[in-house]
Amino acid sequence: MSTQTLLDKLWSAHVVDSRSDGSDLLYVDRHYVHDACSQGFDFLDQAGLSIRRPDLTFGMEDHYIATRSGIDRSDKVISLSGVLASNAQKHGFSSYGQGSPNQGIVHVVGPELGLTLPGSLIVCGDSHTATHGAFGSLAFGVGASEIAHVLATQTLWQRKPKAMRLRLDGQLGLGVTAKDLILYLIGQIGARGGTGHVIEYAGSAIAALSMEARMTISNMSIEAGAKAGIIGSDTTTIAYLQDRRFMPAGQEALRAQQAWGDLMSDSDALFDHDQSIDVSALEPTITWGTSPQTAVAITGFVPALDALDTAEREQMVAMMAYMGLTPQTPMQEIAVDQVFIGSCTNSRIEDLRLAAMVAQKGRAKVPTLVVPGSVSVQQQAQAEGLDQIFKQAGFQWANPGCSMCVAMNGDLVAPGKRCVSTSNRNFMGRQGQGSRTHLASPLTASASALTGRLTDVREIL
Amino acid sequence: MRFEAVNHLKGPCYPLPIDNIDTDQIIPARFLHRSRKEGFKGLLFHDFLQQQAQNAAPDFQWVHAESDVPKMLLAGENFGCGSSREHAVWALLDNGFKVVVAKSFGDIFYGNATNNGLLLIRLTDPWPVVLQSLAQNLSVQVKLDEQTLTTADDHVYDFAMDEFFKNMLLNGAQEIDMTLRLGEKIAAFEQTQAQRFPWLQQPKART
Repeated sequence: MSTQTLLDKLWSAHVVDSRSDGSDLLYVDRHYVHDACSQGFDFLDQAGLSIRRPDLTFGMEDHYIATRSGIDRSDKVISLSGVLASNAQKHGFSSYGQGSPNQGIVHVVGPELGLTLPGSLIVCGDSHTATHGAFGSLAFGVGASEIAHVLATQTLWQRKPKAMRLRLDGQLGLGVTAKDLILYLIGQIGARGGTGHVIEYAGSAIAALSMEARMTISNMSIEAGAKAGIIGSDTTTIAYLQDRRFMPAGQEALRAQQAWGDLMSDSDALFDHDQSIDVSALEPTITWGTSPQTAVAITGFVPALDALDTAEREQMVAMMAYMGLTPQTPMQEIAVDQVFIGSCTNSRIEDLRLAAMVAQKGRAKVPTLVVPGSVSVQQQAQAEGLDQIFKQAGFQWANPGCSMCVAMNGDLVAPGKRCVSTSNRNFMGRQGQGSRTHLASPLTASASALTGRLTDVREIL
Repeated sequence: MRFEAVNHLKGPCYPLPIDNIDTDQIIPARFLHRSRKEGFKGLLFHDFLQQQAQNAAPDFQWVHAESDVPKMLLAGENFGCGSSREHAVWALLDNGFKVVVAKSFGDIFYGNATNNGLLLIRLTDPWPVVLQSLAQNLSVQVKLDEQTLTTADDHVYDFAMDEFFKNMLLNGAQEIDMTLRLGEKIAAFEQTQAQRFPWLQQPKART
């Protein structure tokens, strides 16, 4: 009788009010703020307003925090971590900063603490808030004005996006991870393929993934232009949440799990865009250019320019010039200068286990930085001896934060240097002015560290 | 959060017809610590322009040039994709841009722009025609209420505009005031939510 998509269900459960212009006032269950959200607080102060629900607001220090010693951070940057802490104190919300056992990247810590729960609506002043959609929650990034609006009202006016479903079936092959899958999908639908939509990922290939892997997928939805990326909750979701710090307990837990059991699209629900993709033949995937849509198989080549129209050709030529690449170069012949393993896309324990599995087979030929996503991930990795494996392979083991993904804490890729990175953006200058980024999985990144060139991890496994 | 209402604007339109210009290009991350008050004058497209200069690209002095009239930008597809930084919008405004015309925009950027009175116009007309008639057009007239864009040689483009966003711009986005008046509705929602999903309304840390 019901024919709702997961988006329909999540949306309608949060509508406080509606306007005749078609916008809805949505209630925000969790508002995460980080150390680069200060302008939102400035706006709140200027308007003389206070936070409506400090108990639903959580601060996490990640963008500016130092992840290794000896890195030059400007005084301005150092002072910024104090801003979040003082806002937290002033407004009375919990905040996890330097020295807290809960410190880490907001999109790693929120799920880890069980703050991110199925059926919730989550916003944060960061486009990778899409990550939390892996839990059957509607989560998206907002700007500073919207941060102030949420702080003051715990709500946000929004137009309902369209619903897109990507049904992914088949089994991922050896050496092929969730990261390869999402890079492949972005390559297929393009950097604007999801614009105006929320993408729901479904199918047997998604059902088979762990929560960590699912988060890697939903995280990069924004790289396809989508507002959010969502995955229905199932037994894997509920198992992940057991015993998390903010997971409901006792009778409430039973009620919650019942509510989460059917948080998925109805079988006969209709989508604005519905597509099925068989993933069995996927290969390790990597980007060559300065848009995440420039994804190719590791066995592939930098594209040829012949068949393109003038406008497209010009843009490809510009990307190749920036990246220092020529058409039709085999990807595996591209030498790299350094490797970064970390970011809200790939810094969870599973990612580090994969990277370590490869690292123990050799020694780094280029500088390689491993940045765990949170203190908790860091401790778990150390308990498993992964830090020792990395150090023996000559990888640098650092402290948690966003680090070299967004290059705001002094961890930069130097101009003209080429970095294989497990992060989410290869934009011009993203990892530092003039930096060249190839997005890849932790397996591919670790393998490339051992050889000093873009490497097919299947040669090593 | 408050801005001057946007309706009729007239000024020059400058071309940057490249697809997928992300917010990292509009304003690099290392400038994000600046407050709204310090502003972003002279920082718009900072690294992108340096890159272009190395490639002996066309003259981009219009990007930072002072102007008595509103400046307009003609971009390509998916302008403003990527990071949610509202600084990208502020950087455009602080350098005199009041309108961006493109094939499409990033979603978060679109919301941020509207919240600051930067008018984004999506044109669906054949793009080579748009490029030819708009690029370096020294006097483009935009009327938001009529949803038209008129070039100096009187070519009129109609553009579609969501009512919600249109009203925000025409009224100078007093959204937060309006929402604050809905305090009772929000409180009622919270009560219902606390019954239905207490774990969402009252997060409790396990001891």
